[in-house]
Amino acid sequence: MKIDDALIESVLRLARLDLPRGEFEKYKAHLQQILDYVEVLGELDLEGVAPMSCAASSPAVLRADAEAESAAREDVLANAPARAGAFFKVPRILDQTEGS
Amino acid sequence: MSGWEMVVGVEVHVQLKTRTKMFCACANRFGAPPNSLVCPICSGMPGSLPSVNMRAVELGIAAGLALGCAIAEKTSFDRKNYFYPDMPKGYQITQYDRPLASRGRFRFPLEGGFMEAGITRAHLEEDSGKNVHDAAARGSFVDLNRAGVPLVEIVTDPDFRTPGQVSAYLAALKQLLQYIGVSDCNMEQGSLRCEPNVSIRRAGEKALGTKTEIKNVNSFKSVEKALRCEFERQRRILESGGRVIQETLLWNDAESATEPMRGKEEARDYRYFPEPDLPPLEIPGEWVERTLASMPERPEARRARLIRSFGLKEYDAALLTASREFADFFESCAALFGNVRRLSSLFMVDLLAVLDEEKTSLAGSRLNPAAVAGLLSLEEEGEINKNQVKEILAELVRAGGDPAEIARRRGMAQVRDQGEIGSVVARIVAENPESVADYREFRENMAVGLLIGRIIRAMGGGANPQAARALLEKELKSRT
Amino acid sequence: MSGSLLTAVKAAELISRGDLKAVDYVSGFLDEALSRDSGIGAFLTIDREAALEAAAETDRAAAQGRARGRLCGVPVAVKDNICCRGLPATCGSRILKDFVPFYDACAVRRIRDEGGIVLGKTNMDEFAMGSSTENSALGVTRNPRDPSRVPGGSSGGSAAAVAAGMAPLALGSETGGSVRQPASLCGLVGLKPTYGRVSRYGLVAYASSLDQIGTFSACVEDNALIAGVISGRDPMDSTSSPAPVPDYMSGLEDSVAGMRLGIPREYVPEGLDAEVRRSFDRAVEVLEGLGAETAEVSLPHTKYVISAYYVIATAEASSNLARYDGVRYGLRREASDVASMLTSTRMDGFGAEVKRRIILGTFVLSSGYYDAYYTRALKARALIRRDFEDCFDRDGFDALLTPTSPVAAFRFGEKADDPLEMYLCDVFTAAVNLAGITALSVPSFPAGGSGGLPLGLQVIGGAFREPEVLRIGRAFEKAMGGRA
Repeated sequence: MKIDDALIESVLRLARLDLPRGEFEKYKAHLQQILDYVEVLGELDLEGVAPMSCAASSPAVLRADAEAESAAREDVLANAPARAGAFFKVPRILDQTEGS
Repeated sequence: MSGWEMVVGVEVHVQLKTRTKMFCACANRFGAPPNSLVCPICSGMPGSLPSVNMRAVELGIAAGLALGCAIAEKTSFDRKNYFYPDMPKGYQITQYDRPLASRGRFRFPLEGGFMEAGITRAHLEEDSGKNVHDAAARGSFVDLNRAGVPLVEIVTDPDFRTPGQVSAYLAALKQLLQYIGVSDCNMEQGSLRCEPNVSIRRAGEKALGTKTEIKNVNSFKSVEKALRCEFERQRRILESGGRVIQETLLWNDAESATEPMRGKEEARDYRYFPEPDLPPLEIPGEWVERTLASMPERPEARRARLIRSFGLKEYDAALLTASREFADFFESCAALFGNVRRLSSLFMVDLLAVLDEEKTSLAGSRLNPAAVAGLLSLEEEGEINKNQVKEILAELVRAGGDPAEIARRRGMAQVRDQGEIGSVVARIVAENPESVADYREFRENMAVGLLIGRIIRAMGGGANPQAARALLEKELKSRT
Repeated sequence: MSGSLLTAVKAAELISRGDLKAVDYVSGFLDEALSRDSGIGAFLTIDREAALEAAAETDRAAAQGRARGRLCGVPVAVKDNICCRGLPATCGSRILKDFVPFYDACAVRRIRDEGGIVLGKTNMDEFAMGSSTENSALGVTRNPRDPSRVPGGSSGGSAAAVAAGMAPLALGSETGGSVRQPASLCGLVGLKPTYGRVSRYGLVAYASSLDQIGTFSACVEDNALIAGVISGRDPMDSTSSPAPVPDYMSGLEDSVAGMRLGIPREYVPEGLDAEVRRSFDRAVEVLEGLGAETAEVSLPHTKYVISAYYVIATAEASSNLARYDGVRYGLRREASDVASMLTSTRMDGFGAEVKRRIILGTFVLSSGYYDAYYTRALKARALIRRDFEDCFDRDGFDALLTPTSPVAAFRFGEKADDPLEMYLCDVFTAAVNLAGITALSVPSFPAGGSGGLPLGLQVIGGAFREPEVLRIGRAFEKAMGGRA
């Protein structure tokens, strides 16, 4: 498939990424090259093949509902780029559509 | 409604009543200091991995069974990818392709009868943290205590046609989930949240219109209001020849209006894919049977049993079983006090009123079944009257204690000491020769009524009327 | 004394008896690192003081006869995407440049529990994305065998540390060959364990369904030692296997006579580099000489491996790397609103290859393309796994033999401008990750004869067949004149 600028732009928005000025074309060319390469998957007859989405060999073992001590708050917050007291601090949230 | 019909489906998120979070061993607890119930897993630290809480799965199975759903033999988790500051991993672990429970039916009381709604699915997922907006700081503060709290999301078919049906469904769902111990369903604390989706169509039409989803409805009352508003909004659009666009709206309770969210909704693409960190879960049939067998009695079964075993009226039984807490308490009291008719009237009249006046709940009160039984026994023995019962009940709710002791302290306990009453009787009779004369002249009732009143007043209301009357008549007879 | 003359197995034994001072053993490697690493660039962090303190504590314990552990006093270099409490875990990325975890990875904890000592953190391709370590945002790592060439990647720092004698053992991580390929290029033994054999807890995720911690050593015996230590069920990783871990050390010296070894013809294609082919053919002859039976086999879906691998790995990566948002840790570029902060943080924090893979991964998961790319790749993956199952389970082969890498160590910049050419470095290794099975790379005949660049022989085994691949590797190593 042929990728166009609009597609890359929408993917960048979804991924919260931006590209350095002037490098858009280079990324586009690389992506096109890789997508062309993976087209080979299209020739496989996959009728009736179940997708392999988990590599684990056994089903999940569940955890008992037993409480363990949480981390020390200072440890949790130690790496924060910005904090306000015991909170992580972020700039204003303008876009509401992303919230759950 | 003016030739238009609303079609509503409801998504409800319920926080599960587990000790720990969905995927880590941090406590699942409301109201702790910010970021104090957090670990590498629920704060999305690099290298951390989820592990599934067995109890959460069990509660999910219980919810599914209670809603008449089929429980999946194999269920799996997926990632829902989107960015938000309170979503530590940049994705939410949820269930997309293979939900834990699906295809159920739920029957609930509606306007004296019943209604049945289809349950599309019930699946497990994790809650997000909380953003506290701070206008002064021009930013937000993030608290991750809630991040990773287990949720079950219950999705109905688009079966509702009126706001009343929706709120009746929500009330019944809440009652059910509380009963079977799945959730506290506390809307103020956010442990039950609902998002209705609404479309409208001409009455009689089969095809569905374009639907909108309403978020931020925080009480049953606002659900009905929001649905009415959204119905009107869509009707105005359609009647003026416009088209409803599929979008998510926010309910503004203060303005009583739905409003569009800020941002680019069309950019929303959650890119669900199977969670590679969690192998699929196998749910053995035996586990489902065990959950079913150990499931607490559901509301309708309990109602029927109370009617059967105590001879209660349908209305009374419904009121007494409105919450599991209330019904449990009632039954504990009934085991200690045999007059169930009196007990139920105490519950439905006095207890509800007292709890309401004291602005508390049974759990928040100091009342216990032994105190209730003791209180009603005092009344039965004639020690206190109905008004005093209510007065003592209020104190028991507020502060607890022994009802007999309270009655005594408040001077309610009636004096039964024959000697003490006898001397007062003798004094009053001596002070009221005209009444003695009345008695002698066969105006007995008048005389006795007057004297009894004076005796009781003289004893500060503390005399047992029966005892006083017996002594008085003996005294009067001795003077004839 | 120079530690590198001893195996780690022997060193641990001597140290626990008090016959060798852990302080001396550890200092030997630290001194080597301090004098040589400026020219190699294997380490991002050297935890000198803590390592010496731990060694001194080991010696005190040994003096009282209570020194314990299979790794007693043995230092281990750890790839920088594996968390060690209190040490930076940058993952070779600007976005995590200052990130210091307050928890140990399960594998690291197990190493410490067995008396091992963390020596420092090693350089890597950013978030393990690459095959040369050139994608690190934090510096260059050179191949100790020829400093004008790359060490391979993505675990290039760990490989270089062991190859240069700066550590006896190292942890790396595997997603598509990131331990075996640098082991091959640096002349080391590198093991990729079965998926689920080693807990991933504390390994910073690149592609969760493919990632697995692997091990570097100079000899097979040492690899068996450390691989045994870090293996086993961990309740913190739901994908870790409950299967018991056999003793990798026992049976290591057993003969390979009568073992059935398959040679997949797709791994010795027409255009294969002549040196790689010659080295491989001779390696096969050596094993035949030891009594192993060899036969040509086919893995018919091999041509789809790289495509399936890149679709799946980038899809998972796009989601795994979403947590780097400047809120809780790592780099943040300030902005007036959250969305702008996020975008500029991620734009500045991630390097070109990481961005490329996030874009590709986001694309293959996006609505409208999901089935054509992602679902197809997952189905192709099932077929690739079935190819291996056919060889092991149906046809009864004990292991498969292939070259580890299609090329020897290449020069800096040689493949850096062509992402696809770099991706093809994984062509012989990635299938093992897709199938979730195990494989070992063991030093084989060098390119161009003795003194030439190292090349590895890859021994692929079925799931949980680590004892077999280690035994084959050990027999080969012995026959090649390695440590007896």
